[in-house]
Amino acid sequence: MTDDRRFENFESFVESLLTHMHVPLPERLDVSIGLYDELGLDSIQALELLIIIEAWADLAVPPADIPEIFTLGDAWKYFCTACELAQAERSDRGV
Amino acid sequence: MSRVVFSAFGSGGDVFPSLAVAETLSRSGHDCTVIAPRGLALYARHAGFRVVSVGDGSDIAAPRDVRLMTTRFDGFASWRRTLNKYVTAYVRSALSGAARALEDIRPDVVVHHPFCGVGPIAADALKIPRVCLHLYPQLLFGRRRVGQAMTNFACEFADLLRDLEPPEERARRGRTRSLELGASGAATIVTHDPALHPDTNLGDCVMTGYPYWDRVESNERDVEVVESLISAATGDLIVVTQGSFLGLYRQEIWHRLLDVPAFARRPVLYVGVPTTERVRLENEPRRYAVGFVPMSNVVPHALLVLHHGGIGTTYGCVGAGVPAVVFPQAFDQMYNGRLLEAAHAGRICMDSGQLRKFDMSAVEDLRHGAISVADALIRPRAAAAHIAERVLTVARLSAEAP
Repeated sequence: MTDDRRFENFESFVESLLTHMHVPLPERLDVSIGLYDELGLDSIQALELLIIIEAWADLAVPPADIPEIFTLGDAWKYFCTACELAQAERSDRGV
Repeated sequence: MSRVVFSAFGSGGDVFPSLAVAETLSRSGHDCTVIAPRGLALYARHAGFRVVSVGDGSDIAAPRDVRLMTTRFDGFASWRRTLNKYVTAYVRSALSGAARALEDIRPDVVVHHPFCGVGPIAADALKIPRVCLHLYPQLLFGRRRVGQAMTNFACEFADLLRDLEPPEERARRGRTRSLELGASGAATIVTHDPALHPDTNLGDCVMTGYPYWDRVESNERDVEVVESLISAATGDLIVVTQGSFLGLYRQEIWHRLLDVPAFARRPVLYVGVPTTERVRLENEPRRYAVGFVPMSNVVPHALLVLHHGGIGTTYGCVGAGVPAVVFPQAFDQMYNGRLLEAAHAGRICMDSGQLRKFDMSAVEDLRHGAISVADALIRPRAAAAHIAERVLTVARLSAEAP
């Protein structure tokens, strides 16, 4: 797993994420696709997804409230948020 | 007010004592932060602690490693693989993040797991005093001998620690600090209980009892299942769990726990089961499967618990006066099972064959043993308060030192 990944767009993020998690790519990538009901992720993979997103964003101090991620769109949105939080952490350190 | 950083590693049973102590300290107004690998950090986040997640997240692959689950050499083989393969990678990817967090927080003291690596290394570099919460007394008997054996055994991890050590420090010590690192801080606190672990001759280490803690969040469906079973109060409930590390990630383990003739016709609650396995486990009548629920809500209502022998579950059961059948898979699980056997509070079954032969007529005697131990155990809150006091003492003495 490589930290601090940057993705061009939603599609490239999802392709990397699902490939990394060994989850087959759906025929069509859409923000509304459900992770659990449509892609079949289980409770463990839900935790892994969160960990992967935060590791890719290189986020050290995650939000106290664990985000609710139900769709591919939620995952992308949280990745963008995590990147912003990580950027703020780096700015605080003067990096 | 002191600033305390907990540097965690391992699974639920490893981190829960730290969270119990952090909770005690927080209640008294002290400032606590948990630094942990990303997966383990989720426990602390769920419980509302401030968390710094470090590492690249690769630690989540460890529980899926088939070669990690072995009782060879009394669990040392699984420790060896953990240290060489996973802790080494974790330290490499997490050390800079942990050091940065300690520089930012500037804690008065660091409390760490014996194997965590990043906490003690970063604390030593910044000259911050540290306290080790040690869960493995078997590594402390004849510490130097065991330390040397572990160094030879887990040579890749030992090499990494040697590489990270400042040359002048290595020269001063005259030998590698190696794997004794965990137990060489200002204080080493062993989180076993003299009532279950009568051999307390651990040199300068102090045994404080196990500060059991399990304030984990559960989903509504699981809470309903547990509440309905408890309210049924049949008196013959069997609880089966394999802990957070094994049970959730090693799904095949549940297959080996299905066919236990002694449990036939009794209600069985499987705890800590991944969603994919629940339907299959619930195929038979009077079989229920849930994810994470606090064991302290369930165990007091059980006739017997079948578990893996992790330290948290071991103390959770015996603390409630409930006997156990231990089905060990790795690490310290056989050791903990032997402690229960010696106290006549549990029985080890090494394989599925022994499990199938388990006779429920033994339960009554085991229950008496478990109750005797429970009566003598240091209460979890008292253990947490004792540890918290020692942690603050180390911080204070260090601040007063010239």
